[in-house]
Amino acid sequence: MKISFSRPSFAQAFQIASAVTSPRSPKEILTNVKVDASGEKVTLMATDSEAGIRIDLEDVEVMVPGKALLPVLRFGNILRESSDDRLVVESSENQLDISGSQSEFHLPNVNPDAFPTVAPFVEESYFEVSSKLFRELVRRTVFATDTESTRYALGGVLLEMNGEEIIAVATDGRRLAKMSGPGKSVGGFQTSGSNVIVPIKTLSLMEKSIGDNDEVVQIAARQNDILVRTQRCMIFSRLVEGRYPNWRQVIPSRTESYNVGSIVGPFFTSVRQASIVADQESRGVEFNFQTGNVTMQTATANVGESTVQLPVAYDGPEMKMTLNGSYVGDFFRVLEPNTNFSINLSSNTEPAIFKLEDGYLNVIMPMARDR
Amino acid sequence: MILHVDMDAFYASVEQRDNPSLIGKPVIVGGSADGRGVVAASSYEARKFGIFSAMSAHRARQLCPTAIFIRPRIDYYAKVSRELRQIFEEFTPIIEPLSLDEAFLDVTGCMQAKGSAVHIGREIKSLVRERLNLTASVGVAPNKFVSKIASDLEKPNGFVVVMPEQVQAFLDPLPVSRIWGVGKVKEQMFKRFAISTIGQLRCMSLETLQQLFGTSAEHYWTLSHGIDHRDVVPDRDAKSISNETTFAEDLHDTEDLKAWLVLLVEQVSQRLRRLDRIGKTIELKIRFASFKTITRSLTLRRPTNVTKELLEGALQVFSSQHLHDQESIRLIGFGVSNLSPDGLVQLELFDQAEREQQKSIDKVTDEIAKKFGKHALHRATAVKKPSKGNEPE
Repeated sequence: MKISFSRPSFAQAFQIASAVTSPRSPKEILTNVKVDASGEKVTLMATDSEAGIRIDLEDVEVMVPGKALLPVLRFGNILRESSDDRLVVESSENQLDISGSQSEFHLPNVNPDAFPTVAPFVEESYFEVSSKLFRELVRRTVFATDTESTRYALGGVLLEMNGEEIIAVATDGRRLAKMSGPGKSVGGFQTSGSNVIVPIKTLSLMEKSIGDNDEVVQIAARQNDILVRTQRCMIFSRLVEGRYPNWRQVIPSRTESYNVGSIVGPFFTSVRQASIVADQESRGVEFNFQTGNVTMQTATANVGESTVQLPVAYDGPEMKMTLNGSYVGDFFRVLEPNTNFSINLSSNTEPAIFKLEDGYLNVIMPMARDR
Repeated sequence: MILHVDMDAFYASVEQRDNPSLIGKPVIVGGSADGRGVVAASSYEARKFGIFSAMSAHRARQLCPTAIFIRPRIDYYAKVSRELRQIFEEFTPIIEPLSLDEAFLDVTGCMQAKGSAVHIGREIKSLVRERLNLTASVGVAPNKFVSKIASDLEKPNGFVVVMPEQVQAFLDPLPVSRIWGVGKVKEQMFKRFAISTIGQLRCMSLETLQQLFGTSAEHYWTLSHGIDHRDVVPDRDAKSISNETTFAEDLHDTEDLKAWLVLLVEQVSQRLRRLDRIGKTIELKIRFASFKTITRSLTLRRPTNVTKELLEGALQVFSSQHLHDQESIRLIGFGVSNLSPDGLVQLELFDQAEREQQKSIDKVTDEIAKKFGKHALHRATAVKKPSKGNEPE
């Protein structure tokens, strides 16, 4: 095999593919990324037991078709450190030669035939969403997962795809983030129940591989794994095993409740200010909603006290509740400062629901005196 | 001023009180007449034969063949101990219990209302006799160290007062072994430097002591001068709450061990609730027959005093130890630390209902325990209560 490519674009694809591999894999061959230049397209492949990726490359000139294994660590370092615009990689029986105009490297060659196949996306029924929505589904939920939990299901993001809608849900048992948006089912695809729980490592990989391009993302979920395809890239991942809690039951439909209206930027700033002297452990901030304004207060022994006021749209009865300031901050962090949002309140022992008009919401359980 | 109140031969005296036919006889609580187990407590009549706590029952029977062995009723002693505490509480809220039968009381703040420390000491002594029909020895002194020595000095039924200006004269003639931390080995060491009394120790300069004893020198020096700045710490302010039990005979069966652990967890969580505390870190302690001791701790997802949540943590740590049935276990202990007031807690989205149910179960259990003794109601897992061994306190 002999190929020549533009270093920056190859390096970017190689870095994404490398993210799938684990440097301490018990199978040494999996610490490589495979390049396949034997067919129509040039493809990078990487896998470990949990996930796999295929990326189609552009700007690669194939001089001699073939396949080769590129060791993640050393080849990655060469791509990073080299100052050449183009590099040539040639594999012979025993050796992998990498050469630029100023430098050359020789690495031992490993037989690529033993590398496990990363199957291409051949599913005929799948779900389509825009890459913009997919990024938001991930960004707006992933922070609410709990990877430390003994309930493993909470370590992933739940995806539900039915008819024309995709829903992403993540929770750590104390707050829940839900994002939804439009999509298109192809070939009658839909998920049943709550078994499509995607590991966050895979999700961030998917988000990265999509980049800033505006395109269509195709998602197919099977019994134990999920496949995601974009124009250039295909990722598969095993799903997180375990039962996902019944998340619908904790999003209350309220008959009697009160709404607070405000804008992300100033509210987030006030929460951050009030949190400066919040208790390190509990992060509790007391919110006192009164007609036309909210007062945020914290008082921590040996640390200090804070009071921050902010005008808001509210005309319900006075309501005092304590919320974890970090949870509230997490909701705002993924949003643009000029976004309008509302908080739906019922009582100080029932969840506060932070909402956007586009379907995004966070259900945050308050802190209260334990009865 | 500090009071140290120490009940005289507590377990044995309670048994004698309730069964007058035992009065005047050598009574041993714990162990059995066939020589199994260890002595938990003995009456003064038995002590004359050289019997002391923790001695094997076998040895005790050799020393005193006529001794009467009684199975301990720790629940009952705990109930008497609560009655004792009620007496203390009539005088001061600053009570630091050391065990069921012994406590420090700081009466400095209540002398205006309740009379002098000596008066309070006398009152407590006579209330113990009137209400409990038991005797206590009381030491009254400016600090914990001196008051503890004072209560012990004229036991049983002792009452020793050491006023601040008398401390030095009181301590000087006493043997150095009265100082906390001076055991047989240290005592021999002191002897080699011709120190046998606290007075002789006091005459040494701190520098000399440091050359001889290194880092412990300051401890000896301050105590020999009658200085002890330790506060009486009410159990409400405790940094951790724990309980352990030493088995009279080593246990092998993991199911038996688990049953004991359940009992310990129930008692520790009850104490937490009584003190309105929640804890975040739990610790399991296991001592093997070889005296090798391991402690394993776990930080919980959130601080709690709910029995079920503490128990789940305890059993999780226990299971992670992979004990085999062949291993002999001498002692098991359970503790909760990282305590905070039972204030605001983060509510849960999914299991809030279940948690509230557990809370109400705990409330009922606590009520029943208050009325009928703490072993009146247990979790089904603890029903497999081993027939042998001491009760956990």
